[in-house]
Order: sequence, then C-alpha cells, then structure tokens
Amino acid sequence: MKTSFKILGSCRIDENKIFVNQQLVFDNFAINFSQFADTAYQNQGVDYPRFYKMNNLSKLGFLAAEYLLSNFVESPSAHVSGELTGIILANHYSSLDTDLKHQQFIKQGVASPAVFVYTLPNILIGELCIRQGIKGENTFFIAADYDIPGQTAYVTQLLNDQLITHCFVGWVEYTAAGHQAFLAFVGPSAEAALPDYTSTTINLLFHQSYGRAES
Amino acid sequence: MDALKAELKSLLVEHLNLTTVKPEEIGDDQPIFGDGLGLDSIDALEVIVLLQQHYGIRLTKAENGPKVLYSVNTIADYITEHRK
Amino acid sequence: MEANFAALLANQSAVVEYPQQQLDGSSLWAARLADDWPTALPFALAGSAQLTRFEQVAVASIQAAQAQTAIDLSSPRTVFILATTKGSIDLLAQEPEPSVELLARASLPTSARLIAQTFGNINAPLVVSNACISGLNAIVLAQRLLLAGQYEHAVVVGADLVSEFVYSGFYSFQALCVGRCRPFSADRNGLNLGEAAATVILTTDAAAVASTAPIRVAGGAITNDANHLSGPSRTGQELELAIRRALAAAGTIAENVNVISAHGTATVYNDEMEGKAFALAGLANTPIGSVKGALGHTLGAAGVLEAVLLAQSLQTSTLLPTVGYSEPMPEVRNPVLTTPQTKPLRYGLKTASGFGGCNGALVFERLH
Repeated sequence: MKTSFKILGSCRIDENKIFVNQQLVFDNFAINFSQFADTAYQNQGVDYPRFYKMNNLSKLGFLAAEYLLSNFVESPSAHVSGELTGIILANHYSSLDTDLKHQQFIKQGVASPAVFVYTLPNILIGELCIRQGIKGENTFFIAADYDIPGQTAYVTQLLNDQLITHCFVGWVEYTAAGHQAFLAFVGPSAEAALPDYTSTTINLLFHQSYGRAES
Repeated sequence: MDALKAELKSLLVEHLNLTTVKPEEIGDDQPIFGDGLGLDSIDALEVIVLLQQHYGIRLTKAENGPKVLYSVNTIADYITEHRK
Repeated sequence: MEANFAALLANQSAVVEYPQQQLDGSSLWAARLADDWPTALPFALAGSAQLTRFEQVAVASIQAAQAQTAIDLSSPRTVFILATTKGSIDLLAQEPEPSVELLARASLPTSARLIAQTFGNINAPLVVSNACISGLNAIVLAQRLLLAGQYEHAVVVGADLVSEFVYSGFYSFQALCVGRCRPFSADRNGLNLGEAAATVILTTDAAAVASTAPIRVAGGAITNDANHLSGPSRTGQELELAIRRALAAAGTIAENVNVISAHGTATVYNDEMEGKAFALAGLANTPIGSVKGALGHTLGAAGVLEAVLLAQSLQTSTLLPTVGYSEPMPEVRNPVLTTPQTKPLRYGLKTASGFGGCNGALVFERLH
C-alpha cells in the first residue's frame, strides 16, 4: 500500500503580504521589494547575515521557507534537514533580475563574482540547502506556468520510491515586474486534519484568494 | 594611510553587503575572512575585483590572495606598494 | 558524434585561443562552434530563420539524433526535455535596455517551445536548469518519467553557448585556464568553456532500438552539498551519496563499474572533491576520464554530451583518453585514462557537480 503524503505547511508571498497555512502573518507597506524583504527578515528575528548577500530571488525563497518553518502545524523539524529531504522548485524567468544586473556590469567593463554566482535559478535551492542542511534530490525547473500536476507527480514518485521522505515544493519568481513565492513542505503524516499532498490541494493553495487580506 | 584604510572599510561594507557592520567597527588588524567578518571565497573574489577597479591592482587568489587579503592593514600595505 | 569520438581517441582538442575576448583585453581559451557552423551540417537545419543561435544548435543536435531512429518524436507519448544553464542569454546584449518583448524572447520556455515545434512535439516541454548538472539531471528525470509510465519515449537535449555573459563571469571567478585545461593533473589551474548541444533519445520500447549493443539508463540520483554556492564539498560525501543511490537504483554495486566519465573540470577543488568521492564510494581503483580538455566545459550540455560519449565507449568497448592530462594529483587514487584502451565494458558511471552545490550520478549498462 502506498503511503499518503500530506502538506505539512505552506507559505505564499503575494507582493507585501506573507501567508502561512493560508493565514496572513506579515503585511508591510514597503516602497520596494528590497525594503519589504529586509523588514520581513528582521521581523523573523533570525541572525543570518548571508541574507543580505542574496539576490532577490533567493531572498524571496528564503523568506518563504523561514516563515513556513516558523509556523508549523506539526513539528517535523527533524525532517527539514538531511539526506532524505529534497527541494523541487520552478519558475518562468529563471534568474532574469540578476542576469540583467550582470549584463549591466559587463557593459561597464567589469564582472562581479558576487553577482555572477546568482545568475542561475538553482542558486536559490543552494541557499535553502545551506540554510537548512538539505542534501537530497534537488532540481530547478523552468516553465511558462506553474505545472502543478507535473511537479506533484514527480515529487510523489520521489517520495514513493523512498529517495526522499520530505520535500520542499513550489514556485518562486522574481522579476522587475513583480514577485510571487509559493512554497510547501510535504511528507508523511498521520494528522488527518492536514491537507493531502495532491495537485488539487496545491492548486487551491497556489491560486486561491486568502480571504479578507486580499479583498 | 589612515584615509586609505577608512576608504577600504567603506568599500568592503558597501561591496560585500555587510549591512550589519559599520565601517568604523572593522579593526585595522582584524582578520576579514574566516570567522572575522564571516566572509567566504566569493567575497574574496569580489574584493579582488574591487581592488582592480578602484586602485588598478591585479591580484590572483592562488598566488598572494590569502596573505594580502588578511586584514585592512595588509590590503592597505599592498595598495601603497603597488598602486600605479 | 562519431567524428567527435574519433577526435577524442586521437587525443585532439577543440580548445583554442580567442585573443582579446575578456573585458580587460586578455585571451579566452575555449571550444566554440565556427560562425558558419550550419554550413558544415550534412542536412538542412530545421525551423525558421527566426531561431536564435542557441536554438539552432539544439535543433541541429536533435535532427542528427532523430535521423538514427524510427521513434516518433512528435508523438504525445514522447516527452521533450531541454537542459541548459543560460539558453539564449546572449540576446540581452542586443538592446541597451532590454524590452519586455526581448526578455520574453530570451526566456527558456520560449526557446523550449520553438525547439519542440521543429519536430512537431505538442507536449509541454520540460526545462531543467540546475547549473552544470542540468544535462545529467535531465537524463535522470527522463528515466524516471519513463519508468513511471508517464511517457514511452523521451528526447533529452542539453545545450549551452560560450557567450560573453558566461565567460566574463567565469573570468571574474578566476576559474578559467590560460591554455588548455589539465583535468585530474597536479598542475591543473582552471577550466576551459565549451559550447555544444547533445541529444539522447530514450525509449521503453526495446523493439524500437536498432543497436546490437543497446544502452540501458540504469539509474541516477541528485544530491546537494549544503555547503557553499560555488565551491564544492570539502569531503566529497554528497557526490558519494549520489553515486551510491545511482548504483542502488541501477541494481548494481561499485565493483561492477568498469569506467567513470567524471566531471573533471580541471579546477583545483572540483577534481580533488571527485577523487575523494570516488574513494568513499569504493571506486578508487576504477579508471576515470574527463573530456573537458578536448571539448571544454559545456555547462548545461555537459551531462548529455558526456553521457553520449560514455554510451559510445560502452558500445564500442573503447575507453577514451583524458586529453590534457599531465601528471598525477595526490587526492585522486583512481587510474586516469591517458591513452585509448579496448576492453569489454558493461557498466559506466557519469558524474557531475555544479554551482548551488548540486551533484548528479548516472549509471549506464550495456546490454548484450
């Protein structure tokens, strides 16, 4: 019999609002992403100076993970790190924001190593792995839209094949035109109240309006 | 020399995004890599680019990188010696 | 592909000097396609003239692979997977302030869609962008999707170009070798970039495979160092974990591996880390080789390109030499292949590691 997997927690960042498990937990009238990200980071009260070195895509994904993990329904902290946890993420525009920055540097006749290293989308995965100590399956997909059925099928296969026991899944996009982060942490659980990890539930969590905060 | 050191500290804070550090908090002899300011090898490369841009100095990480990039003092000495 | 294989056997390198390429006027040593490369193709390039250079190179590779099989690449049962780090990123330099239209044109979903159109595939293409393991990762993904029964066939293409965007960045990392690189050598001091596209077509239909010595994609795995964004693991434990899992997925053990096609970028830390990982995995006596001295580091294409060459090795019972190798390095205990060798081969292991801390391992088995 196949184990059923649950969504142990989820986080969505829409513009300046952070929702964890569909509840608004942070709302800030920032003038730009940078200000929003710094305030949201300080609000978490963690000491992680690396945060200030990250590009915007990594900051966005980092914040989603920090808020998700600090608001767990269950406490599966032991499963967050290690060789049996994976990260499978996707977006449309890869690391475009930083790509443009690197291109601007080139035009000025110089290349910055600290900028160039972020011109890969999977650097976000690398940042999360470093922060959380995650060593299992990790892949960054690029797609026109968030392919929820495809990602869910693939992650479920990795879980069923016991390559991993837990996984961060989601969609993290940052461009000058806007940003959006959705991150869920999935794994086995006996807690009946938790939503099943299916493409239907992920679809709801990703697309659904979260009540008054968005009205 | 003191002006150069002060300038270096400001450049380090700005280019390495040391948001939580004030330039004047960096000691002249304080090791800036490893535990010192929590900098890593990408920061070292960034400092090398910074030295080239601002002072026209070429440094390779393999040859004399670690020795020169030890502290603000060692960097300032190297600049004074090699500045064009 | 046969021509590439023959050139490798003859210890040739495609890496040459391009003077005054870098921002400070210094040379770039890289393996690049000639400007008029499409004229050398034995077929007419498919697709419209609107394709970018990146897309054209990928399409040419798919066409060459398609000519060798009767498998219907346009079938809804065929999945198309593109592996790349930067795709058509060279387009960004076309406009001082890139327009929204240009950014959309340069994006990877656009490239994947246009490439898929050239062979009539209507499925949503999958794009893997996992730094330097992208190609290997895409083959592992394809194998899993076929095993799960989601598709019957897979077209996996890995492609990347040597653009100013990429080489100026690697130069700022002081990661580039002046001259031809020296994988697994004591005096190695950096990598050469290369541009390439390579394609593998996978199928679950044994009857559709024409070769008398078909290659089975036996198993693969991906792990992460969780240590540093650009520097590899100090211990090699995470690559070893990927190797261990790939062998388990393949249903075999380390002792059965006849050859390792390593990442072997010729940077100080990568080659050292791989040596440690092979020893930890019980593979310290297995012959290893790297093609980076001949073809350069082809980034997102490397995993596919080098897997194709490994498959050819297994099928022809021929081990390729490590072009550029000079002298042994203490951290690598494996015998490094320096001359072509002929011997019966069954299992081959391909490894790769990349920025972001990712590692990948893939096991091929020659059947019959």
